[in-house]
Amino acid sequence: MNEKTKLATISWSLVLILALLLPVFCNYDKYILHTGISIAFNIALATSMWLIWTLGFVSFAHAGFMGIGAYTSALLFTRLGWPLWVNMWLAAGMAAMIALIISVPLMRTRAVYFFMASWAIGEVIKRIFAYYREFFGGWDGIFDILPPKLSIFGLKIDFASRIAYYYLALVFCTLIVYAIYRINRSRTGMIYWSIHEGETLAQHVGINILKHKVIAFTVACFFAGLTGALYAHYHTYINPKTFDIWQSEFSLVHIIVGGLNTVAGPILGALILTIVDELLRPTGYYRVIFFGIIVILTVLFMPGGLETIPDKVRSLVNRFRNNRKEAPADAVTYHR
Amino acid sequence: MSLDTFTQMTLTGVNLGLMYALIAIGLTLIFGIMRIIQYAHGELFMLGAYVLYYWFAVLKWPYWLGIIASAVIIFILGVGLQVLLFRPLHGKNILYSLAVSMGLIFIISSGGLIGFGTVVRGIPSIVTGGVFILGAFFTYERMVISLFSAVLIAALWFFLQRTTLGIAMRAVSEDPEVSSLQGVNTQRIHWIAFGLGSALAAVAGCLMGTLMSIVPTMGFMATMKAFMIVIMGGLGSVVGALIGGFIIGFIDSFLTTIISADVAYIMGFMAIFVILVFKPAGLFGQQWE
Amino acid sequence: MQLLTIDNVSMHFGGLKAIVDLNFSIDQGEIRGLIGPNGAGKTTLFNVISGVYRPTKGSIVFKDKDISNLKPHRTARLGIVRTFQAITLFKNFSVLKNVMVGCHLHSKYSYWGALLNTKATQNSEKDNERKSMDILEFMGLAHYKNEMAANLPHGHQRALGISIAMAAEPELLMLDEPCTGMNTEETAEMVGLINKIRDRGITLLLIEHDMKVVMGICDKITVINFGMKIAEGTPEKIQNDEGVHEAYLGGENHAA
Repeated sequence: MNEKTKLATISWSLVLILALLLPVFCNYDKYILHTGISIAFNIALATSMWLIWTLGFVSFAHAGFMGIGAYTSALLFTRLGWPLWVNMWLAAGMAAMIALIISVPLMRTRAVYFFMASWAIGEVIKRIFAYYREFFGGWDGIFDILPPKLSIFGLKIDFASRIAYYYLALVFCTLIVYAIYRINRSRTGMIYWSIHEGETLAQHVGINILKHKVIAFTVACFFAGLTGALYAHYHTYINPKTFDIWQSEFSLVHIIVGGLNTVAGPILGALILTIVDELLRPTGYYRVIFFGIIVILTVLFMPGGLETIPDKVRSLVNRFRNNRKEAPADAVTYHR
Repeated sequence: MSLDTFTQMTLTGVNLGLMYALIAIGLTLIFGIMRIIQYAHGELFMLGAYVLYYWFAVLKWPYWLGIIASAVIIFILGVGLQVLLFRPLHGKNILYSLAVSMGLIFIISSGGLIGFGTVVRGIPSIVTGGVFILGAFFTYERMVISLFSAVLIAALWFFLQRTTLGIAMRAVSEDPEVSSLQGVNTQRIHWIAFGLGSALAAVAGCLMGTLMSIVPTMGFMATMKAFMIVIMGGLGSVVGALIGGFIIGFIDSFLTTIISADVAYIMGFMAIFVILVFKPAGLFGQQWE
Repeated sequence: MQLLTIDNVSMHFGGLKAIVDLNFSIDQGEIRGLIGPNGAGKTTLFNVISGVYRPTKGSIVFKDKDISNLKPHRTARLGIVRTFQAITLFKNFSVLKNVMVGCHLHSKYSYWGALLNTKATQNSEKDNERKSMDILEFMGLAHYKNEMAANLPHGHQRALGISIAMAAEPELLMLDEPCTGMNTEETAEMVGLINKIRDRGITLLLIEHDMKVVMGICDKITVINFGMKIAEGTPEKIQNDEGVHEAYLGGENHAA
């Protein structure tokens, strides 16, 4: 098992180093950096949605909470002139607060009904943004949400520069993913998976499932709100349509295609599918068709998701080495 | 509020309710019998409308035959989808069926945009004129369609209550294991139910397409309405789908007229949320998991 | 000392009266048998005691505290742990991890501690692992520790269910049909285990259909039918009770 963890640590460190060096490799190409930023946002959203999944349910309201974060930061900037550095935390806090309030009745619903209830919430959030034109700008949205500037150690950084924003997005994406990874790896993660695997049993050995569901949902929505704020100041323009169910659906597809069992799933899913999506962009309407085909093929033929690829490769390699017995899966840490 | 406005809203509510019920019943059959989330249900609604459009508006073949043709074609399509895509997923995590049906939405709705174009189309009226009821103008077309929907729902009811196949379907919906132990061929029931549910969506598409306009993106709205109704009424409950259809039909009709479409939307969703909190299995649903 | 008292409890589900005016109490250190025909209300009673249902009438008193309104995680905290009629495990977890979940209740835990992996948290995890291994050895499952729970043979799965319950350190352990589906050997093992559990000072309430087990191991037996108590007493008394014979034993002794 330690060999596996070492390999994983090395792989992910490599990925991080590559990500840090990307701007240099691509010659500061604006389009690639833009894609990189989109990937960072999608990874953050997919991974935070995955956190909710570890307790056994899927929230279709996720994009709505991203929207709460985005709108909060946008309004604080356009109305009060506050900078992103302050707004992002207030935005995340607002998303978390609303999530906390809604989650208590929401957690009373079960399984499939939860999916519908969360869908309802996501829709209502979007429609509220659309309906109150005075406050939220209606369907037209909010403009001129400018990225911040930073003066630090004598350096002046203007985050209107795509390179700067790329690193900003990368930093926060890494922090969010790392936090979720740590939560999942700790006993908290074990509690969440035990709720996922057997709610009744977990309850009967003393686990307060309502409390944990509420906390996990709130934390996940905090991260979604944080991502929303970053999103708003990058695109400088938001409207209600950005935060509708399609966005939640994409995140869900990222998780399902990437893999449901480990944190690697949403990361890989968001990474690969965002790239695929960008590569397909020149094909116009066909892009969405190809995307759909890829999703269906992956589910039918690789149901474990992309995260199972390393294990499949390992089995293949071991099969070629006849004298090496395959190490038994260490089931104690089955869910990393 | 004047009497004629009230009557107008009521009649529209009934009309909408019946059509919503058709598509919702289709979904609840699929949901209840196979326990999968067929997110692309509305896409079949859309395809059904387009079949009728090409049959009747373009090829100028008979209208009612067109509805039958649409139902048959979409039935076959539904069966194909079930056998190829959903059957392999049977028993697996429900998220997989959700993902596959999401993929289907991407494919069908974009395919529709490419194939049918973004032009808004309409199906010409089959009968013109109407009557005044209590001051509200009710077209003959709406009347005929409402009547047809009601008859279809009644036929479905009869099918599910009195025919062997229908009873078998209900049995599988309630308890798949016991049903198969009793000798019911559940695999056969699955593709029949999927085809039937999809055909119902197609017919709903034809009818709504006749009264309103047709666009390739209309599928998603239909899916949302269908899910709203099915969850509210309870998974697998046909009665629930019927009643839920009327509730949403009336909310839509009344609130859209009185306030706005957006508010009607929000209210519909809040109604569902509230119902789910107090009756977690929907109005008539069985508690599953 | 009276550990658990069922005080005039009724449980109605709409029109269905699952439990009607039930009264009995269990002393500390007892092994109490709860028997009755299928559908008599035994598992429902477990659900009422553990907190899945709130009694329609009456109250459940545990160590002089009214626990009628408490949810399952709270009754577990107070020391009442149960197993389930159907095998209920974390199927995709290893055997060891299953038991460690049960340890959670009585171990130090904080969100931040877990997140930051503090020394205290690490020590707590080591303690839990040690405690879990102790329980697995006690239950005879130690060599399965890394096996996935779903892969265990039936009898061992039941033992695992009890292991998880034991990890939660119950004062009162309620077992719902622990010997179901077991052959003679497995049953004998289970009886041995139950005795060992009692020797540790844990009070036991046992639903079981295997009459040999019930008569052999229980200090006292409560018999219910149609949600009502129809007899109570030592195994000898119950075996000779006419009402019980009619309702349940059918005039002959048969094992489940």
